[in-house]
Amino acid sequence: MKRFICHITVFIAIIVATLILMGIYITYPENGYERAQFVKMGMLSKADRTPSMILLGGSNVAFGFHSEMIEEAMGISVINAGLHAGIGLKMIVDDCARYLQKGDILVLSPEMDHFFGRTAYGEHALAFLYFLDPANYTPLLNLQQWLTVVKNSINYIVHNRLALMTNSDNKEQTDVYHASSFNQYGDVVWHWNHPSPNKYQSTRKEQKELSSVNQDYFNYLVNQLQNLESKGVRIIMYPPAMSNSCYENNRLAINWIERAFAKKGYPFICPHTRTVYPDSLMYDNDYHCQKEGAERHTQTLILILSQEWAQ
Amino acid sequence: MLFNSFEFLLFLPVTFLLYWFVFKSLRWQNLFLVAASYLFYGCWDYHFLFLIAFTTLFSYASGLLIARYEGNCNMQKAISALNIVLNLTILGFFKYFNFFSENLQVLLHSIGIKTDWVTLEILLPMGISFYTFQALSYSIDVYRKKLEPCRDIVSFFAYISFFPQLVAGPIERATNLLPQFYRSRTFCYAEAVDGCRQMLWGFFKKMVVADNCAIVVNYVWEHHTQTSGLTLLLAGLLFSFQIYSDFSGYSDIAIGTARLFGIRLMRNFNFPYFSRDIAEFWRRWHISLTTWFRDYIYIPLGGSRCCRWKVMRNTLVIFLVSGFWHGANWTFIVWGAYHAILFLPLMLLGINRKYTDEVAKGRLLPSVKEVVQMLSTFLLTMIGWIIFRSESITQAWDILSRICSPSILYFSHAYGKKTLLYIFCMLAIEWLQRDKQHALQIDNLPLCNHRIVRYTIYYLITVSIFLFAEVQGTFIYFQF
Repeated sequence: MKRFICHITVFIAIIVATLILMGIYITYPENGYERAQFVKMGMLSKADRTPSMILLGGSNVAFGFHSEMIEEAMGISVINAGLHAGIGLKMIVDDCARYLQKGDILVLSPEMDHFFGRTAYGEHALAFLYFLDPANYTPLLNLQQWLTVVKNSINYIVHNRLALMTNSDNKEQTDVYHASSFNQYGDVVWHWNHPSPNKYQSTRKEQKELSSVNQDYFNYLVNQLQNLESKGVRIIMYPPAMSNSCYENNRLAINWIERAFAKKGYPFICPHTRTVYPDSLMYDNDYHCQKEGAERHTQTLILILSQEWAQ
Repeated sequence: MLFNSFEFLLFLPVTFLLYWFVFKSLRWQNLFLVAASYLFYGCWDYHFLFLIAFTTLFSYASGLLIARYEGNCNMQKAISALNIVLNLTILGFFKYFNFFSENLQVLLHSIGIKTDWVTLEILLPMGISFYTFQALSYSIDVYRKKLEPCRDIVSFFAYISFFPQLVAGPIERATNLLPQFYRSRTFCYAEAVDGCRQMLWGFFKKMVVADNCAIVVNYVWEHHTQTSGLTLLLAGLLFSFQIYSDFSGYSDIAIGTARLFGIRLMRNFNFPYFSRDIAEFWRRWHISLTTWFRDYIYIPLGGSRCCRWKVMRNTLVIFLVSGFWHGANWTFIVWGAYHAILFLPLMLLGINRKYTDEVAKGRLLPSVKEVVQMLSTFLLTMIGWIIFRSESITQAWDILSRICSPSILYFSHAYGKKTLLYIFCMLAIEWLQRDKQHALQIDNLPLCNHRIVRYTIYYLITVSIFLFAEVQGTFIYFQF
């Protein structure tokens, strides 16, 4: 037995050493989607930035807005800081909160998934982001997020070794998930001129169980919103853009989220039904709008805010 | 919990160390295996643990009752029948309720009766077909007096829920696996090392070959209406290797894991794509299921020792049941019927046991005749896999029609080049090792006497998994 354990331990140690070496030499592609987070946070952290409207959430926000329309209609500069729900809402808000300042308007559109299970603590995208700048993100990680990073570190190597082996950065962009897919506001626009390679089909077909609500994270977020408000940031809760099929399959979960936020003093500015769009307006995902969907979602926000601000 | 998950990477060493170092007595080891197995399964959905526990308890009780009514054949028969009916009812409800409900609705509609039939949103418990068949095997063997009823409830729970084979087999016989839980187990270095090698090969097949094939196959199947015949043919070929690598990879990991715990599971695959006819293919493919059907359905129906039409009927029945076992879809039933059609002529001509040894025995390369036989058998199975993979008969027909159309001459997409290379590597290694239990059984090879050579091979395979693996997630056979 001792011999077996010795041999297997030595073998595993050699493999781990190889993986560490691979981890050092393998870098995330220059045009990788998660790299856009640095561009977005760079826009937020500019010293001379005037108070702005910051759109925040997962990819529903990145794909769901035409920021220029808001800027023109509302006369306020807009930064679309949404990127990827897989980073986890905790990291999304924590990262952004560092740069918010007095007078900013935070439009938060969280995907419902964040409030169920452990999605708020991220998936593989969190690990990808972490490895891009460990020093920047280490202070923001809690134990759950550390677990996500460790768990997905092999995934990171496996996923990115192809970039190393095939030099994929030099190839023509064939899908939307690249850092170069965004406009100057932070909206994903590449797909506005390119059809989706896969026909959209809803993937959230099963009703989420209310027993899996992540109450701890919900309370953490509410606390964080209160802190931001005390800093002088105005909070607007805006339901994410969502396909009709996804909404129909997840009414219970969505209703729970709406009620829970209202109870804590952060009601959504409109019922979720107003941001539910026909499946034909979605690109490749329950939350990813095509151009027309993004414009409709933006117009809805402008209309509601104009009415509210006029009063 | 998946074998190719981070959780399993932690679960296995912890379980292994606790099993051998902390729980040293047989009873504690068995109890620990049950707890570990329930944790393993519960990570997927803990609700269905109650279902396994119920199936286990009922089968255990039926075994004891059969023993209690020794001498009363009618009572024993009734208890055994009740156990079979209950197990099949649970399986039928979870797996086939909607299929029957929908088809009955269509049938009634076609004769003018309009019904507002009920279909339920039923989540299929993972591995239900596998552990149900294991429970049935026990009950039938006890009734047939091939096995003493189990009185040790912990051993019986361990038999039904033993985690390496719980969700996708091999479907163990009670006569093979159950007695292993009665005997104290000692750690065997050679067994454990060979178990690790078998697991390593299983991971390579699953993560490098199957998961890379899956990407191309899923894409082509999704876009089959816009794809040329030649590309569809390539996707059919890749799916044939995907399902083999996925399922035999799982079996290798399961068997290898079990060996780490001193348990020997039955072989499930014996290099089926080196078969020279369909009969040989079925002796080498999913052996645990095929022999289960043979022992518990085919032979009780009369097997091949009856008149010719009954032999044909029996053969057709097991192939149809085999198809239906895979799932509630007409494609599986047609797949079963298709194989029956291929198998029956060999059976009727009495040449179904023509090839019982390995191909090209004692030679490095096969003869031209053997190559042609293997290729034609593979081609026939590939047509079957296209039916099997399709979502409906219409889709299968459409894909097969496109393959047979002039578009077979047009290659629309250059998919899967590197995947073909992985398949070639796998086939080459398996060909060289086809007389072994698994492809990485290398300790007796001349060069591999040196430890450094063996470890270099393990190292290269492990690194190649990290370099070339795709992360596709679940195993195909979990859904069955």
